[in-house]
Amino acid sequence: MSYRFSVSVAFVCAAVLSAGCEKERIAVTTYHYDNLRTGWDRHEEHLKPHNVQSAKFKMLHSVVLDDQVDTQPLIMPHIKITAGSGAGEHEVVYVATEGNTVYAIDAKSGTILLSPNFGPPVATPLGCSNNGPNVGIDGTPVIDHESKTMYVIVYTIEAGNPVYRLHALDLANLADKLPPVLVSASHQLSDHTTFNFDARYQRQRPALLIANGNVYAGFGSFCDFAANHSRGWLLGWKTGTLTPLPANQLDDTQATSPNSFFLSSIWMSGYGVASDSSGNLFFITGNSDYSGTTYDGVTNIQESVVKLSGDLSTVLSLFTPSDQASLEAADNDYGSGGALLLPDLSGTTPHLTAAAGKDGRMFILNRDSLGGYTPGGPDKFVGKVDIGACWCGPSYFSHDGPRIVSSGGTNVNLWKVQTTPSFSITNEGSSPALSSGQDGGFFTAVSSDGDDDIIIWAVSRPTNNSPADVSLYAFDGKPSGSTLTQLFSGVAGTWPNTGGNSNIVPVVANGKVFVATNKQLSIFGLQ
Amino acid sequence: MKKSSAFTLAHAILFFAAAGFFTPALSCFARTPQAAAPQSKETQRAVYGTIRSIDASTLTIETRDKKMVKVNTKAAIESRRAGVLIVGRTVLVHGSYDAKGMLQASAIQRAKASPTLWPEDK
Repeated sequence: MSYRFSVSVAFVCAAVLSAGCEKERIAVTTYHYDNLRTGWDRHEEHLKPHNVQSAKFKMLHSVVLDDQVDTQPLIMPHIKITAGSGAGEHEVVYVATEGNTVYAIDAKSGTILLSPNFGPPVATPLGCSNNGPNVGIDGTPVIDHESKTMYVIVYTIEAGNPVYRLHALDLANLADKLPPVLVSASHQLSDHTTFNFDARYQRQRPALLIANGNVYAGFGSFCDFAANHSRGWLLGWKTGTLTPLPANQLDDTQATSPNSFFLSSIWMSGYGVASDSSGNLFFITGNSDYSGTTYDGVTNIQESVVKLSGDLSTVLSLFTPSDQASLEAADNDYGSGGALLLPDLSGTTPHLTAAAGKDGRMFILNRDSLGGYTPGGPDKFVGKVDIGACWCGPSYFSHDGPRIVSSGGTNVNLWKVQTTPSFSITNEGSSPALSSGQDGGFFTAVSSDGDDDIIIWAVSRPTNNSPADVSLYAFDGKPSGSTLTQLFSGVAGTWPNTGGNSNIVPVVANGKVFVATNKQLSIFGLQ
Repeated sequence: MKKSSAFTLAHAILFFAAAGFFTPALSCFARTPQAAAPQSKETQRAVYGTIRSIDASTLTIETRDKKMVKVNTKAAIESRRAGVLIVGRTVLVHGSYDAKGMLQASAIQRAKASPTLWPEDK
């Protein structure tokens, strides 16, 4: 099996001893650790089931932030901070808030090193409260490890109007390396008129991606409001210059629809657009016109897993469930979840993706040919299992073969994947139900020390308005019988905006677990 | 709103709702305290509930305290501030009560299914 962890997990040797590098410290530069979106840190030397289960594992620091956090923290070891009172070398956790503040925080002490703000956020866009009271930085930024640059998209008010700006920030001082660019785009519709990107109606929610020397960002809507204006976009810019790519992806290019309702959003509950080793892009789209009549797989690609060329010019393949019309009518977005790309496997279908949505079906698809659309069915997929309603996204690890971690409904489920002699997917274990509310599902990450000490981490959603707690959970990745044994649970913060899902991804790195919630970063570890 | 020529699930739901298949017994219908004492048009409300029936541009929602409230969706739909409306779906309605106690919606969005997550109505 060959792995390619692309840009996201880099290793830094603190010292080179005769025995080699000691205590490698990982960087987490992108959502879910890598462009495949595995969510797997397989180099965790400190956190093991026996000590996470003990009283030694607890919240070490709670850092007060200025607003709700919908982004995943990113981690960089050995960053030389050059500004502020904390100048010097640190292991830094970067957190971006809906208040448009980017924090650089010392990962060991919880001390805030830098906290520049990039302008006023947009208050309750379009009156939609399916987000916090502010929308600022909503999508997880991405770091180019080599150039020590963070790319982040800020939603702010300029001259009285909401705009998006893409920034390229120096990790050392969080200052702009280049003038931030205004996000704009246009695309030709099927009647040859031009449709322009309008920041008033678009929500930049999926995590950003670096691949092919480009940074990519997807866009959807606010609450499905202004569905006559809002459409799913995937845009790209050259890293280093922030020059927009010549092409862009507009998911619905139809000029009219029965209800003037377009969308086909890219939102995925914040999960990142994924990229394979060839630089192809993968994402899932949401609902479009509720008449259920506008899908054609060309001019409108709603409710679909999409494989797109890295230059954004060509839809290479897609998979659309045959019941897409009923998904549309019921607002049952397939695109509420994210698409995990499994590392290359042996067998006749080495390139797989796993993708689930609101109705809880997780389809396993062949990335080389996703399966298309088969009116009336049967759908062409490699496998399918029910995981529970999924405003969520899968994780992955390998232990004696590939494993998918699903998090639909209120349970973590572990799925064993076999590809030889033929494909099979079987449930190896389930966690006890998390105390998790809001819409179905939640997010996970996995840590291990190679093949050993596998721990599945999860963060619940609030179950009530007060105190609206969210909790960090840890489960043993090796099932006991059919049960994933709970190792730990503890309150990690609050999420008072109960009308908008918490999509909190726990981040494990170098012996710590980072959980960003409402106005708080919690750092867990061994005391 | 333009009408589609296709008969979809959404239309079926709307049809059955209009035909009264999902309509609760009218004897259960009760006005909310707000409806009983109409507010000025300037008083903006935020009301959570479950859609129990749909009749043309009027929804009947059941609030957390089991009261039935009629909602005029016309302005919300015309201003494109309404998601897909389906019987059984939980919603948050922004708007104001008119003199007859009908909630004139300015926006309708999907709400979480569990009332324990609903903030207090305003």
